[in-house]
Amino acid sequence: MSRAATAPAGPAPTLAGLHADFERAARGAGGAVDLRLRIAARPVCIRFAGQAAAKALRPAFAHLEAQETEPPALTLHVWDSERPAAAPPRSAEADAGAAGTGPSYYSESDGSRALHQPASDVFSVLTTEADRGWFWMPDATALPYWDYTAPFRHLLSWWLDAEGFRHVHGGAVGTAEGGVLLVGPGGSGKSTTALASLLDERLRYAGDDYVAVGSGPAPAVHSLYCSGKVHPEDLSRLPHLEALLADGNPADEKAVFYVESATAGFPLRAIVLPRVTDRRAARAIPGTQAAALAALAPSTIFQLHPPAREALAQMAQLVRRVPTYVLELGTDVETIPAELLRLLEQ
Amino acid sequence: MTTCFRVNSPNVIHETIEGEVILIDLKTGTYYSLRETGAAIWEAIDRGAGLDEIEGALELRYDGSPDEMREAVRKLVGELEREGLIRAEQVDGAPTAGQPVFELHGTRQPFEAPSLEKHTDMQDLILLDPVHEVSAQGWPHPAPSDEASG
Repeated sequence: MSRAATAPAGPAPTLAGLHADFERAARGAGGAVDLRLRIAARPVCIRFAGQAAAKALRPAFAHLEAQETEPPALTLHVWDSERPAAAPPRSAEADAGAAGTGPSYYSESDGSRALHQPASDVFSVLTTEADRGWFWMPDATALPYWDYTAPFRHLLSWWLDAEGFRHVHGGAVGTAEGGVLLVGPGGSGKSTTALASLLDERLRYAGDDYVAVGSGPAPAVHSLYCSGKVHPEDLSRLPHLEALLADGNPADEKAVFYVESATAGFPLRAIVLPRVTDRRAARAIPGTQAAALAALAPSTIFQLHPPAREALAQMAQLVRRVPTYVLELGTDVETIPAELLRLLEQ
Repeated sequence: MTTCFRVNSPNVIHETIEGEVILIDLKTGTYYSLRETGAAIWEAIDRGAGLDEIEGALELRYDGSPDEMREAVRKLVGELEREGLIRAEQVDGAPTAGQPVFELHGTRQPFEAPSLEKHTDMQDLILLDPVHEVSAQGWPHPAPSDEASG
């Protein structure tokens, strides 16, 4: 939903000005902390200004850390300390201590694209070449759980798009030979299914909410975040997760986990639509391609900005390439891994 | 001059998969699906057909009373227009002159009135966390008129 708007406040950010702000913050925080990752088989460097920002956002990428020597395809500069000279104006929403939801403002200019989320007061900027990005937040330790469990979602989605991948709203689990993409609205059982996979050592976790998918003829899932989230009331059904509960997890709406043994990805073998039922044991039955597309495309398109027109056609292509199943979830969560493995062996 | 219909691009995107059409309105977040006769009518609209052509082509493809088909087509087209998914346009000559509206697919199937399934669950996301595209002349930030309107 876009509205025409004119005369935005604040001077245009220059990339040089932004970078100078980051460098100043890094010097003030005792130096930059580099995190080298491999995302979608590409070298990525995240430069944090100081340890505090790194400590808050690093756990979500624990499974992708790599000893990289190749020059990064993407370098993100991340800081939170002093408000940058090149920052957008602080908004009334942020002053009111909003919970992090609310309108966002997006623009593209020569050389960069930018998103400002006034309620949480964070901003994201990526060069048009999609090789360098900047992310500023007022306080790395005060981000809402949906941000610190899936950091830099917009920057990564723009970069992945430029690299020929699609950042999709879905979870994923599988083996080295292949796995499934779990799609559906909130409450459909995506996270429960993904996190139940940890009960069987043959299955590897790749995410419960966002992953990247390659759009080639042999589609593959690429993990982005090893975090997982469940409603506290569901923890009793997933007692194996207690050991993974994140240290110092604030009293958020959801309990947060980091699965350091998560995989970087696997070939995509099927799309699975979990559905909560009153059965006892989980059961997979064939589903329709149209149901898979309806579950995958709208939420992917509207979770991120700008809504990508071409994403619908790309996802339709993906849905045509692999079979779809409906996974009827039962009260016995322990039966989920065996049913997923049975489906993958077909 | 005759009337034909056009998909409301670029706000409306659509894909047909296993005979079912998935339509997404990028402005409102609403998405829709059309099956069977509804998908056939959409296919004709996507080719720029007018009412008479859609009705004539349905008669080639489905077995049913012409009156029932005519009423069903008009009802669905009206609904698609009200939802902002298509718009009527005046053109010279036959709306789809030079292009086939339908190919005949074997035996005719019994006609059943189409229905437009509407899903609004994404609207909450858009209403709670809307994203506004703003001018590139500075930081993306609400324009004064947005702030004034609260």
